[in-house]
Amino acid sequence: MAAGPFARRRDGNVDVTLTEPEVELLRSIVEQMGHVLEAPDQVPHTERLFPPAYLDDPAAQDEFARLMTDDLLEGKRRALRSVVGTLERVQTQLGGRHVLLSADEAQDWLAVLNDARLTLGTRLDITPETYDAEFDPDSPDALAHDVFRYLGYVEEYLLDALM
Amino acid sequence: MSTGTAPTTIERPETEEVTRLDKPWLVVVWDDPINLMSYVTYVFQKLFGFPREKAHTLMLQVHNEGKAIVASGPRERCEADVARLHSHGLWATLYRED
Repeated sequence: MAAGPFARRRDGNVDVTLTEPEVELLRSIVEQMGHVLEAPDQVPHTERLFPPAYLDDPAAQDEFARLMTDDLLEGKRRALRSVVGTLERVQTQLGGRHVLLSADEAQDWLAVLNDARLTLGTRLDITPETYDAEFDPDSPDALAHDVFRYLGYVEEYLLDALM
Repeated sequence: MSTGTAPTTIERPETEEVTRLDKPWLVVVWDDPINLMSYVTYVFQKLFGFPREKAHTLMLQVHNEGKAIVASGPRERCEADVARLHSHGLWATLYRED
Protein backbone atom coordinates (compact mmCIF):
# COMPACT_ATOMS: atom_id res chain seq x y z
CA MET A 1 0.00 0.00 0.00
CA ALA A 2 1.40 3.34 -1.01
CA ALA A 3 1.89 6.01 1.60
CA GLY A 4 0.95 9.61 0.91
CA PRO A 5 -2.12 10.99 -0.85
CA PHE A 6 -2.45 8.29 -3.53
CA ALA A 7 -3.39 4.61 -3.50
CA ARG A 8 -3.81 2.67 -6.71
CA ARG A 9 -6.53 0.07 -6.77
CA ARG A 10 -6.24 -3.26 -8.55
CA ASP A 11 -8.43 -1.97 -11.40
CA GLY A 12 -5.98 0.88 -12.04
CA ASN A 13 -8.13 3.62 -10.50
CA VAL A 14 -6.33 5.83 -8.02
CA ASP A 15 -7.75 6.96 -4.67
CA VAL A 16 -6.69 10.49 -3.73
CA THR A 17 -6.87 11.79 -0.16
CA LEU A 18 -5.97 15.40 0.50
CA THR A 19 -6.54 18.09 3.07
CA GLU A 20 -8.74 21.06 2.19
CA PRO A 21 -5.74 23.45 1.99
CA GLU A 22 -4.09 21.04 -0.44
CA VAL A 23 -7.19 20.95 -2.64
CA GLU A 24 -7.32 24.76 -2.60
CA LEU A 25 -3.64 24.98 -3.50
CA LEU A 26 -4.08 22.54 -6.39
CA ARG A 27 -7.11 24.48 -7.64
CA SER A 28 -5.04 27.66 -7.57
CA ILE A 29 -2.15 26.00 -9.44
CA VAL A 30 -4.51 24.59 -12.05
CA GLU A 31 -6.09 28.01 -12.51
CA GLN A 32 -2.67 29.59 -12.99
CA MET A 33 -1.67 26.89 -15.49
CA GLY A 34 -4.90 27.69 -17.33
CA HIS A 35 -3.72 31.27 -17.76
CA VAL A 36 -0.26 30.08 -18.84
CA LEU A 37 -1.75 27.77 -21.49
CA GLU A 38 -4.10 30.45 -22.88
CA ALA A 39 -1.19 32.06 -24.72
CA PRO A 40 2.06 30.40 -23.64
CA ASP A 41 4.14 32.27 -26.21
CA GLN A 42 3.21 35.52 -24.46
CA VAL A 43 4.01 34.30 -20.95
CA PRO A 44 7.54 34.02 -19.51
CA HIS A 45 9.01 30.77 -18.16
CA THR A 46 7.19 28.46 -20.58
CA GLU A 47 10.24 27.47 -22.65
CA ARG A 48 10.56 24.12 -20.88
CA LEU A 49 6.98 23.24 -21.89
CA PHE A 50 7.86 23.68 -25.58
CA PRO A 51 11.49 22.63 -26.02
CA PRO A 52 13.25 22.59 -29.40
CA ALA A 53 13.70 19.28 -31.24
CA TYR A 54 16.66 20.41 -33.35
CA LEU A 55 19.60 22.26 -31.81
CA ASP A 56 21.63 23.01 -34.94
CA ASP A 57 19.07 23.23 -37.73
CA PRO A 58 16.77 26.29 -37.49
CA ALA A 59 14.84 25.37 -40.66
CA ALA A 60 14.11 21.84 -39.40
CA GLN A 61 13.19 23.28 -35.99
CA ASP A 62 10.75 25.76 -37.55
CA GLU A 63 9.10 22.95 -39.50
CA PHE A 64 8.94 20.70 -36.42
CA ALA A 65 7.38 23.48 -34.35
CA ARG A 66 4.90 24.27 -37.13
CA LEU A 67 3.74 20.64 -37.23
CA MET A 68 3.86 19.75 -33.52
CA THR A 69 3.26 22.80 -31.30
CA ASP A 70 -0.52 22.96 -31.72
CA ASP A 71 -0.91 19.28 -30.77
CA LEU A 72 1.47 19.69 -27.86
CA LEU A 73 -0.46 22.69 -26.54
CA GLU A 74 -3.85 21.03 -27.06
CA GLY A 75 -2.64 17.96 -25.18
CA LYS A 76 -1.65 20.14 -22.24
CA ARG A 77 -5.00 21.98 -22.28
CA ARG A 78 -6.91 18.69 -22.44
CA ALA A 79 -4.99 17.30 -19.45
CA LEU A 80 -5.67 20.51 -17.54
CA ARG A 81 -9.42 20.36 -18.28
CA SER A 82 -9.41 16.77 -17.06
CA VAL A 83 -7.75 17.74 -13.77
CA VAL A 84 -10.18 20.65 -13.31
CA GLY A 85 -13.01 18.13 -13.71
CA THR A 86 -11.55 15.78 -11.10
CA LEU A 87 -11.12 18.62 -8.60
CA GLU A 88 -14.82 19.45 -9.04
CA ARG A 89 -15.62 15.88 -7.95
CA VAL A 90 -13.71 16.15 -4.66
CA GLN A 91 -15.92 15.12 -1.74
CA THR A 92 -15.53 15.19 2.01
CA GLN A 93 -15.26 11.78 3.58
CA LEU A 94 -13.85 10.45 6.82
CA GLY A 95 -10.45 11.96 7.42
CA GLY A 96 -10.26 14.39 4.55
CA ARG A 97 -11.10 15.29 0.98
CA HIS A 98 -11.36 12.46 -1.52
CA VAL A 99 -11.63 11.83 -5.22
CA LEU A 100 -11.27 8.66 -7.27
CA LEU A 101 -9.24 9.03 -10.48
CA SER A 102 -9.45 6.73 -13.48
CA ALA A 103 -6.10 5.47 -14.76
CA ASP A 104 -6.24 8.07 -17.56
CA GLU A 105 -7.08 10.86 -15.12
CA ALA A 106 -4.12 9.84 -12.96
CA GLN A 107 -1.92 10.31 -16.05
CA ASP A 108 -3.47 13.76 -16.53
CA TRP A 109 -2.63 14.64 -12.93
CA LEU A 110 0.95 13.54 -13.50
CA ALA A 111 1.19 15.64 -16.68
CA VAL A 112 -0.25 18.77 -15.05
CA LEU A 113 1.82 18.43 -11.88
CA ASN A 114 4.93 18.06 -14.03
CA ASP A 115 4.09 21.01 -16.28
CA ALA A 116 3.44 23.16 -13.21
CA ARG A 117 6.83 22.13 -11.75
CA LEU A 118 8.56 22.91 -15.05
CA THR A 119 6.94 26.34 -15.26
CA LEU A 120 7.51 27.27 -11.61
CA GLY A 121 11.00 25.75 -11.55
CA THR A 122 11.96 27.80 -14.60
CA ARG A 123 10.59 30.94 -12.98
CA LEU A 124 12.60 30.24 -9.82
CA ASP A 125 15.67 29.45 -11.94
CA ILE A 126 16.10 26.10 -10.23
CA THR A 127 19.54 24.61 -10.81
CA PRO A 128 21.19 21.45 -9.43
CA GLU A 129 22.89 23.72 -6.88
CA THR A 130 19.74 25.50 -5.72
CA TYR A 131 17.41 22.47 -5.88
CA ASP A 132 17.93 21.40 -2.27
CA ALA A 133 19.45 24.64 -0.97
CA GLU A 134 17.94 26.54 1.92
CA PHE A 135 16.14 29.66 0.80
CA ASP A 136 15.48 32.86 2.65
CA PRO A 137 12.02 32.59 4.26
CA ASP A 138 11.66 36.39 3.93
CA SER A 139 12.36 36.35 0.18
CA PRO A 140 9.44 37.29 -2.08
CA ASP A 141 9.89 33.89 -3.74
CA ALA A 142 9.65 31.93 -0.48
CA LEU A 143 6.02 30.92 -1.07
CA ALA A 144 6.77 29.90 -4.65
CA HIS A 145 9.65 27.74 -3.39
CA ASP A 146 7.27 26.10 -0.92
CA VAL A 147 4.77 25.41 -3.70
CA PHE A 148 7.53 24.03 -5.93
CA ARG A 149 8.57 21.62 -3.18
CA TYR A 150 4.99 20.65 -2.45
CA LEU A 151 4.42 19.83 -6.14
CA GLY A 152 7.54 17.65 -6.11
CA TYR A 153 6.28 15.86 -3.02
CA VAL A 154 2.86 15.18 -4.55
CA GLU A 155 4.32 14.08 -7.88
CA GLU A 156 6.77 11.74 -6.18
CA TYR A 157 3.93 10.08 -4.27
CA LEU A 158 1.80 9.81 -7.42
CA LEU A 159 4.69 8.13 -9.26
CA ASP A 160 5.13 5.80 -6.31
CA ALA A 161 1.49 4.77 -6.62
CA LEU A 162 1.68 4.35 -10.41
CA MET A 163 4.94 2.39 -10.62
CA MET B 1 18.60 22.31 -68.92
CA SER B 2 15.09 21.79 -67.76
CA THR B 3 15.20 18.09 -68.73
CA GLY B 4 18.16 17.64 -66.42
CA THR B 5 16.27 18.52 -63.28
CA ALA B 6 13.76 15.70 -63.45
CA PRO B 7 16.19 12.77 -62.98
CA THR B 8 17.92 14.59 -60.15
CA THR B 9 14.61 14.99 -58.36
CA ILE B 10 13.79 11.33 -58.78
CA GLU B 11 17.18 10.09 -57.62
CA ARG B 12 17.42 12.17 -54.49
CA PRO B 13 14.99 10.23 -52.30
CA GLU B 14 16.86 6.99 -53.04
CA THR B 15 20.15 8.56 -52.04
CA GLU B 16 18.60 9.83 -48.83
CA GLU B 17 17.16 6.42 -48.07
CA VAL B 18 20.58 4.78 -48.43
CA THR B 19 22.11 7.41 -46.16
CA ARG B 20 19.37 6.87 -43.61
CA LEU B 21 20.03 3.14 -43.49
CA ASP B 22 23.73 3.78 -42.89
CA LYS B 23 23.31 6.54 -40.36
CA PRO B 24 20.18 6.35 -38.27
CA TRP B 25 18.79 9.39 -36.51
CA LEU B 26 19.29 9.44 -32.76
CA VAL B 27 16.93 10.67 -30.03
CA VAL B 28 18.75 12.34 -27.14
CA VAL B 29 17.28 13.16 -23.73
CA TRP B 30 19.14 15.93 -21.90
CA ASP B 31 19.57 16.36 -18.17
CA ASP B 32 17.55 19.11 -16.57
CA PRO B 33 17.46 20.26 -12.97
CA ILE B 34 13.68 20.18 -12.56
CA ASN B 35 12.26 16.84 -13.66
CA LEU B 36 12.26 14.25 -10.88
CA MET B 37 14.54 11.24 -11.43
CA SER B 38 11.65 8.89 -10.73
CA TYR B 39 9.52 10.76 -13.28
CA VAL B 40 12.15 10.39 -16.02
CA THR B 41 12.39 6.65 -15.29
CA TYR B 42 8.61 6.34 -15.39
CA VAL B 43 8.35 8.16 -18.75
CA PHE B 44 11.03 5.92 -20.30
CA GLN B 45 9.07 2.85 -19.18
CA LYS B 46 5.77 4.26 -20.37
CA LEU B 47 6.85 5.55 -23.80
CA PHE B 48 9.37 2.91 -24.84
CA GLY B 49 8.21 -0.11 -22.88
CA PHE B 50 11.63 -0.46 -21.28
CA PRO B 51 11.87 -2.74 -18.24
CA ARG B 52 12.25 -0.81 -14.96
CA GLU B 53 15.95 -1.63 -14.70
CA LYS B 54 16.81 -0.40 -18.21
CA ALA B 55 14.73 2.76 -17.76
CA HIS B 56 16.48 3.41 -14.44
CA THR B 57 19.95 2.91 -16.00
CA LEU B 58 19.13 5.31 -18.84
CA MET B 59 17.79 7.90 -16.39
CA LEU B 60 21.05 7.66 -14.40
CA GLN B 61 23.02 8.12 -17.62
CA VAL B 62 21.03 11.30 -18.34
CA HIS B 63 21.59 12.49 -14.79
CA ASN B 64 25.31 11.66 -14.52
CA GLU B 65 26.54 12.26 -18.07
CA GLY B 66 24.15 15.06 -19.02
CA LYS B 67 22.40 13.14 -21.78
CA ALA B 68 21.52 9.70 -23.11
CA ILE B 69 20.44 8.26 -26.44
CA VAL B 70 17.07 6.61 -25.89
CA ALA B 71 16.02 5.69 -29.43
CA SER B 72 17.30 5.53 -32.99
CA GLY B 73 15.88 4.91 -36.43
CA PRO B 74 14.30 6.73 -39.37
CA ARG B 75 13.86 10.47 -39.02
CA GLU B 76 10.06 10.39 -38.94
CA ARG B 77 9.97 7.86 -36.11
CA CYS B 78 12.57 9.80 -34.14
CA GLU B 79 10.60 13.03 -34.59
CA ALA B 80 7.50 11.24 -33.29
CA ASP B 81 9.49 9.97 -30.27
CA VAL B 82 10.78 13.48 -29.58
CA ALA B 83 7.22 14.84 -29.78
CA ARG B 84 6.02 12.20 -27.28
CA LEU B 85 8.92 13.01 -24.94
CA HIS B 86 8.09 16.74 -25.21
CA SER B 87 4.46 16.03 -24.37
CA HIS B 88 5.78 14.45 -21.17
CA GLY B 89 7.97 17.44 -20.35
CA LEU B 90 11.32 15.87 -21.14
CA TRP B 91 13.97 17.84 -22.98
CA ALA B 92 14.58 15.71 -26.09
CA THR B 93 16.25 16.48 -29.41
CA LEU B 94 17.18 14.45 -32.49
CA TYR B 95 20.20 14.47 -34.74
CA ARG B 96 22.10 12.32 -37.19
CA GLU B 97 25.80 11.69 -36.81
CA ASP B 98 27.91 13.00 -39.66
